[in-house]
Amino acid sequence: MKYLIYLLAIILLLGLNAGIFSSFQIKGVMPNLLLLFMVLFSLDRGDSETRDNADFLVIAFLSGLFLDFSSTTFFGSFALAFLLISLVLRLSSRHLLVFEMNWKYYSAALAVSLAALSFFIWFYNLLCFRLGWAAYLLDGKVLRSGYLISLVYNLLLLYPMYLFAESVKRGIAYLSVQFRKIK
Amino acid sequence: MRFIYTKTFAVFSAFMVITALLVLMQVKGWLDPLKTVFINSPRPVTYAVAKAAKPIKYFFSTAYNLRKITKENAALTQQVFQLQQDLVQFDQEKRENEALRKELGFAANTGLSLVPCTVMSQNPFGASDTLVLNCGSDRGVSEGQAIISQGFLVGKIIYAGKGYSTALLITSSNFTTDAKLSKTGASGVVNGSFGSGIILDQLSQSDSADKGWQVVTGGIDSRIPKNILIGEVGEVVSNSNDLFKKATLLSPIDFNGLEFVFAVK
Repeated sequence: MKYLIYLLAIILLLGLNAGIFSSFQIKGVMPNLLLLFMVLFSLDRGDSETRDNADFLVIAFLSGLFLDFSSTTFFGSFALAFLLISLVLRLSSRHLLVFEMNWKYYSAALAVSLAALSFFIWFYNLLCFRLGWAAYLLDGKVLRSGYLISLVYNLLLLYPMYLFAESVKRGIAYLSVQFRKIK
Repeated sequence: MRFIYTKTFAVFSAFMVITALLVLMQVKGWLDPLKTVFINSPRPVTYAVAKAAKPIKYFFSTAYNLRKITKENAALTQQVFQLQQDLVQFDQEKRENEALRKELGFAANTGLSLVPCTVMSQNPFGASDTLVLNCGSDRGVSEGQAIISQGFLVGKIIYAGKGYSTALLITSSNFTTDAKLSKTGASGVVNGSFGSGIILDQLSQSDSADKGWQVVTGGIDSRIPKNILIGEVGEVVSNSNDLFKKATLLSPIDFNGLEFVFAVK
């Protein structure tokens, strides 16, 4: 049930991204709502019940798949990148960060995630091109040039996406309780 | 507990394997049906959202481009004025073109020796029913020569200077020339009638003059060749008791709109 909700949320975010933000690009740069959604879920430390929860990986995998099918990069760039980034973020939020999550950590995590995503996509495409799978090489300059604008644009949407992610979590928690009651 | 023994790592590994398999399938080209599903699933949301966002987009786009729009507007307004002026000129040239075609169409088929003239002005100095032409004695135009338009007599030269001349219109009450009915050869005299019409006068009462019969120049005046069309009989305006038969003549020429004429040498 919750995986269905995750899937619907991802489809909704992808639709919003393509429907609204394609018309409001800044120098050809759009925010990535799926990346924000993935980062916010990955940084959730959770409580004792959800500590070993792997939902963030499901979200990372599905988001990555949708982006792979929608983009022109070689298949697997986004899926693999999202899986790796989400795992690193989850491990660092659990074991490295001592203090409570605040906006500084969220912003820093977003900045690092964006940079890691650009690098991974470029590197993965380079690898696939050398193996003869990818038809063309991605220019690193293109990925680098829009980084700052992309970061600022995504930071502006961080809080709305945080509220959305929290509402999804609350919705799932509520449905789980209702489901248990029915059982 | 070591990380590799956790549920998280197991799920992560599983997803990595699944992704690797999907990449392999993509390389083989087996992922197309799945691709269609993934691409089309957010389409309803995209469509609905794009439609809702259109007015907002136009608002911000207009606000952002306001300065540019204002500049473009001013430039387009200027262009519209220019085009309106060009249109007026074009209409004028079109009219001249059509008039010239009509004149040239006649000139090509006639055996007369013609001098093309442009009408410079009509009714100069308040004098009625005269034309000033841009052809004069330097081009062989002289007093008494006929002026024709589209094969019809429209007047005659009353003054020929060097480079210009003045013509009296056939509708002037001062105009007179010999004429005959083309059908019967009956002779008469054509006079202008107070600037609005042409009268065929001095026909014999015994001569017939039915409506629609062609009237041409008689050739008695040596300066005006014979058989130049003047008009057709309109209606007989005299009584049987009058000395001569009189009839109105109808000419297809618009005497107020003359732009090009020929002087007959």
